[in-house]
Amino acid sequence: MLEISDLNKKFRRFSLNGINLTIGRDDYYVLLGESGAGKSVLLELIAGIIRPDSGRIFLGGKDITHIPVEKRQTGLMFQSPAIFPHMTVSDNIAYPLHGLPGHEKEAKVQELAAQMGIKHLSEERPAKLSGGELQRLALARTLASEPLMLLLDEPLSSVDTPMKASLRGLLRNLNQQGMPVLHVTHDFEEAIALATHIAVMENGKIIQTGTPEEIIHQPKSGFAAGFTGEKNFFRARVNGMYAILETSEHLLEPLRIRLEESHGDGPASILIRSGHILIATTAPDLSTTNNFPGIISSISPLRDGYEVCIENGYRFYARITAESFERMHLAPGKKAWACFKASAAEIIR
Amino acid sequence: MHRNTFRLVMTLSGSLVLLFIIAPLAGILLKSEASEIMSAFREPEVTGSIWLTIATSMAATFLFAFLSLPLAWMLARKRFPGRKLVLGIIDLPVVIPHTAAGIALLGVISRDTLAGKAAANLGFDFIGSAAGIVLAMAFVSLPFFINAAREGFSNVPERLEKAALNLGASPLRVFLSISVPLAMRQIVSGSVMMFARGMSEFGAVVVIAYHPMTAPVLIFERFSSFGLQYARPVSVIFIVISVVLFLIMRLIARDPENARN
Repeated sequence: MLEISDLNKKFRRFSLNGINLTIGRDDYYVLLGESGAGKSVLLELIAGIIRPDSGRIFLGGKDITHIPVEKRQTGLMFQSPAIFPHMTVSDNIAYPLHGLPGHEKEAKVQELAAQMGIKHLSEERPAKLSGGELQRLALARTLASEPLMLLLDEPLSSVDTPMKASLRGLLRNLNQQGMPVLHVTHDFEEAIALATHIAVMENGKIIQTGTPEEIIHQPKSGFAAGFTGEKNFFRARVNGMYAILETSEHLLEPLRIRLEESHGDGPASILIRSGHILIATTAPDLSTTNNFPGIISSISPLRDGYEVCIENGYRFYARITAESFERMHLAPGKKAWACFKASAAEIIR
Repeated sequence: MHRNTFRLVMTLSGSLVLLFIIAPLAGILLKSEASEIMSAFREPEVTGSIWLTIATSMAATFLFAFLSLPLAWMLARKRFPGRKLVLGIIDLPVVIPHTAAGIALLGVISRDTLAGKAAANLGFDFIGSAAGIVLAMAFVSLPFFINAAREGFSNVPERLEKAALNLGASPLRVFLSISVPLAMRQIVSGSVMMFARGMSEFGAVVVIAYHPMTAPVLIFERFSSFGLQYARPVSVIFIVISVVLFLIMRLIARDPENARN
């Protein structure tokens, strides 16, 4: 759908170098990186707001590198929603529908407002809307322009936490209905919750691309590892008070993680922060409800201790202090238990 | 004590400056007899000059404000070589003596110039005509408009324009439907300033067109030919009309619909 080939852009103090990226029709691609990594610049290059020094951009098989912004059909959404303050909600949505007959325009506006759950606000001025409502409005307006793909620049950063989940759901649905997405964020959880693919960006370069699992388990640089930080990330299906982990090995009995509360059944991602996992070398008698035996497969020194990986078909990473490490005589190949409370399992949707 | 002295000094100096502005205006109003004012008001020469002043200044404002909107937008949005020079050139009419501005303008619109000949072909003349007065007023009052409009465009978040382009709108549509409406408050207030400045212009106008007489020229003529007593009633009428018009237009510029952005 979108193909970027060897894209370069030099600014006075910053440059974007050799960007190559291919995004398929069904992809929800998350561009992950710290602020200042060049993520937003890349989106503006794709949208045509900035022109590259060299390289090519193809969208839907067409070379759009030199096409003006207004003819690219890239639905760019800004970090703080660029809503026109002098127009009502419905006039904002109708803005891209210029030239359409009145009744068709009206019908389309109503349909999009309903789809985004802002129909009741149609005649309101944007000043009265909350951050989440503004982002829904921005999304409705972008969809009205019938873009070939969505370019989202930190779309959830100005949204309250409760609203975030529903907006994520909206974005995920749009993608599942066939809208390719390139979503820029510095938020690891957001990336996990949404991405089918992740590209990690650092200092104007894409340093790694892959599925969320690949990025987390095989970070190609210290930066990627440090950036994603947490490795205990699992795809799962929630069933009542349990999350049943997905497995690619059919022989393996799927692991069931006890949850603290019910989150509603269905697919979800589970994150267990490595600091919340305890290690036991004998069968534990602990209050923790999730205690999984395995074999220590690797031990990596950290700045302030060690990271121990316990493997049992799944990998659980635990961070422990140097004192605990020495006291317990941990070594690769040794049997150990990964233990954590039900409350340590975070559901990300 | 120290604090009180400071407050006293500030209040005194402020009052002095206010008095300096109010005293001549109050004086002229108090010294004028109602009967003199009424009889001046009945003179066709006086009412004619006032109407001419209002009409020419309004024409100058509408015509040149409309023409200079794109320049104001360019100066707000684009960084190009020589931008600072252009900004300086725009302010020139404010710093040069207005009679000199009139002389300079004469150099490009008199009958033997290209513009003058073109006008002659169309059947009119800039010199000694309302068209010339419009140009003279516009020349000296344009900086007020361009600077206000530029400020207005600068205050429009650029991402709104980028978003509109991304939604498929042409650059012209973005300019007309996003940039201009959102800068409207400053555009209107710049127009009010330009109109007011144009109305009060004497120096440049008198060089280009002594006749037909605008109100400031008429006041000068009556003062130099017949003296203070004779010039005062016209001055009072013109001051009152100017202040009333200015207040009305300032109120329009503060319309909450425009103030929202």
